Amino acid sequence: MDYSKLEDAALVTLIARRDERALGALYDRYNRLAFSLAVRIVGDRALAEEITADSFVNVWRASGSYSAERGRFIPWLMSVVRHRAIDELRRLNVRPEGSAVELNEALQTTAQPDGLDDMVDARRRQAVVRSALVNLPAPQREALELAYFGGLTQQEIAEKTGTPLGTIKTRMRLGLLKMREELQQFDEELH
Amino acid sequence: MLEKMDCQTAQELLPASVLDALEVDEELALLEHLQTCAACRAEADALRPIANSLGLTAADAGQPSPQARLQVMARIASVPKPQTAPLPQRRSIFRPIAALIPAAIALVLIFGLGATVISLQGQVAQQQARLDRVTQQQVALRQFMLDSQMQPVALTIKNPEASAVAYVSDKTIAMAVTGLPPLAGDSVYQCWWIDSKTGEVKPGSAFKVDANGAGVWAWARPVDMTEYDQMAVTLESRSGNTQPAGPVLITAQF
Repeated sequence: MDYSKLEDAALVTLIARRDERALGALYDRYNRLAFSLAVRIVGDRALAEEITADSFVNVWRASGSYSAERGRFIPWLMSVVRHRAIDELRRLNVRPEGSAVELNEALQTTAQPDGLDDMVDARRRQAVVRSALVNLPAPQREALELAYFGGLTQQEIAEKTGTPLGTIKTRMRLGLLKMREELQQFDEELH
Repeated sequence: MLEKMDCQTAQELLPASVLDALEVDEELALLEHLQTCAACRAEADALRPIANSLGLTAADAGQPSPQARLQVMARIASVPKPQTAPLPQRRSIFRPIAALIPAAIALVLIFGLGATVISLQGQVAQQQARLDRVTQQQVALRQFMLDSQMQPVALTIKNPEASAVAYVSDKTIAMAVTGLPPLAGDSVYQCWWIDSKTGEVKPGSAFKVDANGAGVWAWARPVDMTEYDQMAVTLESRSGNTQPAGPVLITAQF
């Protein structure tokens, strides 16, 4: 069986049956994405490598609870990596200063997954997500990034940016709902 | 007394919730609402992958070292495989019972209506008891939320699917969780109070979660709480265990 040609959901099913080659295939496909997210959050490559490894081990442990019907694998993996990385940030009591990376720079060099079939969808999704993010008004984008990559609460974002809490709440809500609209359009066109 | 959250308020909070950006009191109130509102749960499920997609915008940092892959593969090889119970053997003693099945069907038809009524009465009683427990929990939780002395508790959550928050005051600890695996059979989630200096472990409350793996609880702290500096939540095959036997899912440090 050529694992590199299997879809994500099939690989996760095999992982739930404790097929180590299936996890290896998913690792090969997404380690770059996972590592890049971890680096973005913690800003340290050695620590990010540890977080990436922990995340794939967590995928191995939790594969039985993943349901393809409830969502795609990539957001699930991103969630696993992000939570592990934010936990590390909190443990170290470190907060990134503002947006850790200039958005334009990030958008030009977004991490690419390494693989075949699911990758076409993943790359298109990446393009849509970054387009949706860059099209947001800067304050909305900042609120989302400080929450997602910085692990800050709305209250902490309000204090950090010197903005009223109510304004931060509105920016975050409008920003995420706008992104949802664009991603929904993408999903409708895809199917 | 805190007002029960309505759907409009919940929907306004959901975007921040899926980004883990709510304050603990808001998250607790939202989780309480989500326990009883399928529409808002569905909205949360729809928003969560949008939030998680933000990870795709991280700048390319290259790949981890080749050794990282080897470490992952070595680590998963050491993770215990899930226990699978052997299939029960068909015992010949049950075979004669097959002959009685037609008679059993006739009895069910005759007494079915009465049994249905009794069953419904039983279900009503069960629902009432459950409602009473939920009400007690909510009252305790609301009283707790009004306690100005409450402090956040640092939690370590082992299950990547789960999230949890906890607050503690001098008399009470409250915890809200979501995303824990559903329970099977008599299994329960069990809290343990731990004295890390002596290694003493004392059983605390056991709890169950809803179909979404969610729940909100407020418990009285042990009277001799000062001795216990840690708490853990494990998955146990039944309630009443005096020592933890199942996997540790959440730990807390006071």
